[in-house]
Amino acid sequence: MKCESCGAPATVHQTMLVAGQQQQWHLCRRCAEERNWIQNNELNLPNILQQVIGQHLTPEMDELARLICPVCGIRFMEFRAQGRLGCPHDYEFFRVGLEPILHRLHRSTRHRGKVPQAGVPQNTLELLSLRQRLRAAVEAEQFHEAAVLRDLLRQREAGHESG
Amino acid sequence: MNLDDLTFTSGEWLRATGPESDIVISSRIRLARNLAAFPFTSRVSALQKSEIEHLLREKVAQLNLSPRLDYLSVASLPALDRQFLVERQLISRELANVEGPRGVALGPQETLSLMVNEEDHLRLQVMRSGFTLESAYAEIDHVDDLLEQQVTYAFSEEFGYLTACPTNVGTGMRASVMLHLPALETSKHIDKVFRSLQKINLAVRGLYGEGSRASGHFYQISNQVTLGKSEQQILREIHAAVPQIIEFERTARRSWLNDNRQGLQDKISRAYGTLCNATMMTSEETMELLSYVRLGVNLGLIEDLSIPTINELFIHTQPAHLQKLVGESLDGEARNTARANYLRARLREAGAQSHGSI
Repeated sequence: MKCESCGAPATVHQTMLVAGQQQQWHLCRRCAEERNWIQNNELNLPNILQQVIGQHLTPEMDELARLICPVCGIRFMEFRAQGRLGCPHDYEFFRVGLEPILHRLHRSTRHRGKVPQAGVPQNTLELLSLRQRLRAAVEAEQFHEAAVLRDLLRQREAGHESG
Repeated sequence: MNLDDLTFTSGEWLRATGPESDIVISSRIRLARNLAAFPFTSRVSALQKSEIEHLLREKVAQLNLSPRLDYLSVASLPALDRQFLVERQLISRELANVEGPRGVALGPQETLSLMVNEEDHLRLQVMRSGFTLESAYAEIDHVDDLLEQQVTYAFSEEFGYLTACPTNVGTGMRASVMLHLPALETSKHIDKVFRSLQKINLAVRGLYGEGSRASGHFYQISNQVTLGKSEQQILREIHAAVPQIIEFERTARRSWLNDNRQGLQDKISRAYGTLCNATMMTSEETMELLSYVRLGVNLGLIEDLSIPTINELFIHTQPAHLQKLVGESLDGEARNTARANYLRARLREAGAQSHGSI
């Protein structure tokens, strides 16, 4: 049997019943480890289940699966696989996909508690985006652009903190 | 702050001075917070992580707190020291083991700790002895307010404080209480307690043990829901549930005494005897035996040994603490011997005599 991912001999075999359909998966050890199917020499069942279900997509979910956050670059499916979001903007950007999850976790989708004393912060998306652009400029070694962005960021943040 | 100094004490929250401290060891509140203008910890670049640490370290230092907090760069600490902080519950296992710039600001009494670059940029924690959720919350709320004046938190009107994991979003608050429940566990009634707590969305976890098996009969009760309820409501719910569990445990202890005093006395005496005499002791066994001794002290069956001393023994016999006390790195077997030596010495010092006849 060949690994479905890379074609090497498959040594990890999973048979699962998902929504009434039998699905079989065959991977080599390396690909299975890359997908976190194996941890400490044991099958990581919750992770496998999540990934399998994640790939068993309805048309709506299919669309959601393609969404990539413009700020931090995380895909919705990455979040589902690892359980962590990439940036504060994801709550807005992935709202449609998050709401059912929040409902399952908390039986609510709306905050009812403490609010920061200075009120709801404004323009945080702009700051977040500027910061990511700065990061990209630094990583691409475009230092002039980075300097410009850094100054802009400082200005905006100073304006922010004085209210 | 010198970690070696901490070694010889057991921290404020183990002083057993709080209310109901025969059964409630400690109360803890944790708030998860993130800066608005950075991605979450798992997604930031190494450079950004440094920036975040630097920024938060600076802001924390500027807080007008008394006594002042000391910052420890966890990334620079050797593994033993990190483990030490985990055992003391001052940092999480995650912060100890994850990579990259990260640290913790600690107060000298070990009640307040602020973790930087854990799963979220900032994790505030207040821990206190006994059943003291309200005063713990008052303290952490105040520190949160002070920090809010210095930084902009990621917050949306709709979803509240924004966290890396949706399980924490909203209030970002995890309130928990650590309980010692030897009678409920031994009588097997603890499962009923678990089930009734789960119905009201409270999670129960055995502390130090694997999964839901508790080591030393210690259990942690905490809220699972963080969104859709106010902080006060969450606290009220735990506050309402805990006294019932305390009462169940007290009742279970009384039943145990009534039904089988001799058997219980014997179990406690044997536990005490083993701790006083054995020459090798595993962590597991130490936890279990100390748990019975603690029960014995609570029930008045052992005198001359105090609860704070026992609390100290629980902490000092943990692997990293033990190695720091002894002053050297030890492997498994050597640790078990050192642990037994330490216990014998401490118990001899306490000079307690177990009274055999009641």
